[in-house]
Amino acid sequence: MSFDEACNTPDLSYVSPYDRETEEQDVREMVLTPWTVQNICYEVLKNYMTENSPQKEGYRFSQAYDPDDIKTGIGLEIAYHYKDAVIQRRPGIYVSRGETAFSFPTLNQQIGGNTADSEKMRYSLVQMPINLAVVATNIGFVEQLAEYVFKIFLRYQEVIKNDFCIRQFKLATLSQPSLYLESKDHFVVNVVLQSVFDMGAVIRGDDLRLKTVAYTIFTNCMEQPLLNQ
Amino acid sequence: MSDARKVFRKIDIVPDWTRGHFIQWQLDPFFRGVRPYNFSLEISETSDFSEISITKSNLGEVFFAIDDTHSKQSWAPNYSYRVVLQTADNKKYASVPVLFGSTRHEQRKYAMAAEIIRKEILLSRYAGTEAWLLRRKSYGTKSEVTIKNIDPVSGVPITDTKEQDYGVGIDEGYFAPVPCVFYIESGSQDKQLDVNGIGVKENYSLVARIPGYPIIEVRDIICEAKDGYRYSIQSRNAKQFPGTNITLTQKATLNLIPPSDSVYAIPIPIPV
Repeated sequence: MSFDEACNTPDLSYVSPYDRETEEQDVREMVLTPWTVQNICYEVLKNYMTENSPQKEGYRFSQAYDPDDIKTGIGLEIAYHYKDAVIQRRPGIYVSRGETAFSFPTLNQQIGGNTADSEKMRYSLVQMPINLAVVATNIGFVEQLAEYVFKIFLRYQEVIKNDFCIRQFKLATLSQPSLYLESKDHFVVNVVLQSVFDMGAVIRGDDLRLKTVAYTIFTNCMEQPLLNQ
Repeated sequence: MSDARKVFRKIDIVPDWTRGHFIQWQLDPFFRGVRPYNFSLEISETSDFSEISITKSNLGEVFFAIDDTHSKQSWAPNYSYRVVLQTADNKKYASVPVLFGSTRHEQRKYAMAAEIIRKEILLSRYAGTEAWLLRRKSYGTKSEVTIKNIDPVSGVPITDTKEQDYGVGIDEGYFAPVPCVFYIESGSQDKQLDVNGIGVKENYSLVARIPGYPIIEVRDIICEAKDGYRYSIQSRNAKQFPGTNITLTQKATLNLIPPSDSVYAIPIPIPV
């Protein structure tokens, strides 16, 4: 394409192959969001603990995870999920996400564009800790259980990072044990994972639903000062 | 024999003329003898135990003994009790003698206390719930299995395993169940998501009244005989008869233990 051709007005008969309806019907691959990254951790834990019991790994305690809520000896839950039908379970592991920080390393959040389809590629970098609260009945036991959990990520953080296209995924901290008094003395150790992942979006001209906002924005107050009066 | 005060911390005696007088003790936590321990109860008509009338020997590693000989049938200062601990290296440690008062005035106080206890037991029998007390072991042997459940350096239990030591670090974790009765004065139930994200915090708490026998301690377990619920004793408040070492009544805060806990695997006798 010559310089002159490129400078010409685009062909007005051009029809974009994308429209909103067909896009929404497509089966999409998983998008990394704070919720899905947290769920990746949950599922990794679940699958790992189902196949690799603590006893297989040489731990002395007898409790093991079972995907069946009733049979399991170690509870595994997304934190803040109220399950009335299921009894309180100790020992347990509770997965939750921490405060999520967004940063926009590119100018105007943009990493690309396609003028012909009026596309703009937006990009943000998300930093998010994931907390695994490990609860058990005595201090020695909770330390053993926390070790069983954090070793999973210590060994496989590289694999998880690559397989799920997470930019950074690493074991960050292991908290001090703290007393958690309920029916009996319980102790909690928090295993914290740090994740950094990409969140992006492609917007097209006709995606701008803001167009439907029923406000007029004055660009020149002198021209239409009393529009609604 | 060594100084009893360095071995036995506390000895309680509860008169029960029907089932037998109940003697309960606690060992000093700093006492270290060669295990296993073997306790025996000695009954003497002389205060210096120069002549021992009856011995209930080879009681094993227990925390109480019952004088069911029915020898002592009055408040007269005719029989004294003492507990003897024999360690595995054949050393013997005897407690200070206990008896139901030596003067007429003291005997009267013991008689009054015994009557209050009788009525407390009667009240519990009608208004209360039958249960079993599981006393948490503070001493006992460590078998090869239990030793594996303990950190070899610090001695801290690293497991909470059913049918082994239940996270206590001593064989079987709890003493054999002792029958008891309690009745509920008030109860509260709360089931909320924990703000720190540690699942559902279920708190079912009872304030229960228990007669002076058997004497309970914080961290013991009370098992309801019929419903099967098990409670951890969170706090204890005891009333003693002034001037005696008789516990009249005990008030305890009981917290329901979640059924996933290992203590539910401790077998208790089936109610009749």
